[in-house]
Amino acid sequence: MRRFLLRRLVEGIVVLVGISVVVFVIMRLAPGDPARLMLPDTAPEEAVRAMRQQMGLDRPVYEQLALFVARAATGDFGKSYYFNQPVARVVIEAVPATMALAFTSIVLTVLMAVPLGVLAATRRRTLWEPLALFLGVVGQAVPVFWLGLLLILFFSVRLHWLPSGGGGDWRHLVMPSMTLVGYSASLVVRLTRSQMLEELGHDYIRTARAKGVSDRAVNYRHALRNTLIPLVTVIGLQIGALMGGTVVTESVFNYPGVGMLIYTAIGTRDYPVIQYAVLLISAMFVLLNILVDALYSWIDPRVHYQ
Amino acid sequence: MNRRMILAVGLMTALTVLSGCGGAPKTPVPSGGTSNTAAPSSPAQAPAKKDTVVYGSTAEVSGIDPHWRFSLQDLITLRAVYEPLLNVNKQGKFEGVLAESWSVSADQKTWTFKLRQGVKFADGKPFTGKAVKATLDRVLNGKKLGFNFLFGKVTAVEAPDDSTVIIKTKEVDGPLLYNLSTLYITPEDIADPKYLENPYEGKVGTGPFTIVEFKKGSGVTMQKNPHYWRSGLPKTEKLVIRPIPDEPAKIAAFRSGDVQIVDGLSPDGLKTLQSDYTVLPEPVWQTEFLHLNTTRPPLNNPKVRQAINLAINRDMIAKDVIGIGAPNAVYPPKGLVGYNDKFAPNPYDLTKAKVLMKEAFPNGYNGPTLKLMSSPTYVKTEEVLQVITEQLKEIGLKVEPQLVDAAARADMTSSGNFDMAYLGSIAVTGDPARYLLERLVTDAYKTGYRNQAAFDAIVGAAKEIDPAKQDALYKKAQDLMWEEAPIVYVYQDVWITAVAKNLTGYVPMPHRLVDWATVGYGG
Repeated sequence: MRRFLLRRLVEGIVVLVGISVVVFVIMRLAPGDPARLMLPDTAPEEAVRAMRQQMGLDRPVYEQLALFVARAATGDFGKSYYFNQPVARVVIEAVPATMALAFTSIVLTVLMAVPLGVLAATRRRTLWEPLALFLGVVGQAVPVFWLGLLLILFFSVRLHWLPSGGGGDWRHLVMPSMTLVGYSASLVVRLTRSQMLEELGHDYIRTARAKGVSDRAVNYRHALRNTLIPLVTVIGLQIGALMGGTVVTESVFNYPGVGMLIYTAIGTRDYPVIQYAVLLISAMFVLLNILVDALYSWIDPRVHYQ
Repeated sequence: MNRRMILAVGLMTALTVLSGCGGAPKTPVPSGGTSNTAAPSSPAQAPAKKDTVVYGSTAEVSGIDPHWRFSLQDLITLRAVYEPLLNVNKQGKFEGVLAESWSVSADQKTWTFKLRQGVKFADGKPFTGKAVKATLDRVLNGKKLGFNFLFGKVTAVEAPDDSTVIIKTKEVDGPLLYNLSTLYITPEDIADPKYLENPYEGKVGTGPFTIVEFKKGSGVTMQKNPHYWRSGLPKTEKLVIRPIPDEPAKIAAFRSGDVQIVDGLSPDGLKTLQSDYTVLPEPVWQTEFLHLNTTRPPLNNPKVRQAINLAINRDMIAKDVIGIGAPNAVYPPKGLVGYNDKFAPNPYDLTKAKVLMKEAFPNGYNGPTLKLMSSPTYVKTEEVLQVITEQLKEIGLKVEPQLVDAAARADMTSSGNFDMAYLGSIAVTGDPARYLLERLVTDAYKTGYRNQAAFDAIVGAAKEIDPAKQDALYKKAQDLMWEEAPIVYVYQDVWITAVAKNLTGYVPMPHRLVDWATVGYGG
């Protein structure tokens, strides 16, 4: 197990280095000159050239890359072009907001979607089943920005209960997380239901029932436990995706998280910010994946890592 | 039993969310951008007390250094904290702010400013000529600063006494006063050499507010300057400028009462505002236009360019597509010195345009398809591109719209890699010189067009300080270039601002730099 984790960790570092280089090169291949964006439309060519030199952008790409790698190895990722602050400070400032949103959303998703999926599978031909199917389809089909705007119209404009956007305290979290839950819960509901149904159809369930094991024990100790593996994978990936900040949700609610930051940084060609934010998100993704893999063997003792 | 447990958990979760909603006050929540730490002593959290004005801005502030980047949003925001020596009013005339009066020497190269007396910075220290000198010296020497290039002709700044500042230029600098209207004066601690390399992080100026907090993504929170020199102002305790770039989100924030001022609205967006508000449409000094790459066929043929100029129905674009805005066919636009009303705002003449095309291509146009490039930066860019494409097809040209992002657009225009580029520009200093010099004379946007007589007139105007002489020279340049149409002007923007009904004192400006001091609730 330990060796497995160690190997995954080393692989993860290789992935991160690869991602950094790819991001670095792609950004420089994309059209757009950060130096020009620093200056007004009508800035003379010499001013732009001087600015480009100041920013080190007049050097060849491989030289810039070498410099970036050398500095990154010492933990120096440079300064944001737009905010002119160390990029770690700029990005890490946005992380707590995104973490709060991701955590709230995933907890709500699990608390709502797993029970609903289980009920839909165990109490077939009751109201639970169509309800779960309906939510599963609608949640997936409804565009996030539309759901977000509807929530704003209802809770902010009509009822004046919640702020329409921005960040700050828990009230700013409610609507963005509801929007995200709508999407991720639909996925989890459908998956839980279908996996549960599959498990309940297996021989061992019939055997258990024939032995007189109670419904509760059959459903939860046996069937649910076995549906957890694919579920944990999906939820793990969802957390990873949410960590990256959900660009659309964050922009609808003007929520000052990582997604919004990356979105604006791409617009202003703020290379260092994009570079650092993508690296940070990738690192979290890699770590979560390792964590999920480790969880497998805990959930299902049959899974062993060599 | 067990199923009920699960049901209960599900319901409780839903209730947690809903009870969260119910626990919040049922009155409009104070600004989302204001965090509790912003002003611990301020009573602004009590929603009933109307002492906070929140403006939902279109763009995000890059920082709180007034000279780091030459960005319109920074200028709009920091105008609440800092003040320039002088201001350009709605009529395009200069008004003293920190300078009470000014005069120029006989050779027009030495300017003497008499400063307003009794002005204090928000920290109580007196405002003197030293602050003006420190500010200008920093901008002149700080090569990293976005403002550096504006004052290239200034050779020396002197502050012989507390109430006088002398600015010397190496040649007559026509745009100097205009440029000074965007240079915000900071306290003299900005003279520290470290600010040549790093952003200034001071939070006090002579303006109506001081900065309490700047948070990326949440904007700038400001509090009243107790020492403000204009008596009875500012009209509100707190001002929050919060970025809400997305129009639907902006409208929702306005309708919920979270923000009291929103601007840059589209006419369609305005229709959905619904709640009580006042609309303040303001014709701004912003124009949208087509840059034609005159080095590429068929645009190297002046007849084709003129045909394009005549084939675009600007009335249709301004009224039917944009919904608001004025057709415009010249630069400088209405309101700026040099506006030439000799040319109709909509010189649309399809017959004449077709005749010109016939002269250029007796057998019909059979050349390459022209790309009409732009980015979705301007009002309804996509629709406008579509309409122009159709209008140009009427005269036989083959045109294809091409939408890229703003950074790519800037790249393509600066490298000359375009056929036709649909662009926009605002004269934030109130001066047409910068636009004309860069777009035409130095050809920063690579239209490849040359017309020495017209360029001489433009350069000449930038070396005049008399508006009447500038006016005549700009008109002459316009006359000389009309038939050759290197840039085809389409319309002049009308900027739409909506303010809450109970808010007063917000006066939109054609350069968009508003006076925040007068904004408040009630009289």
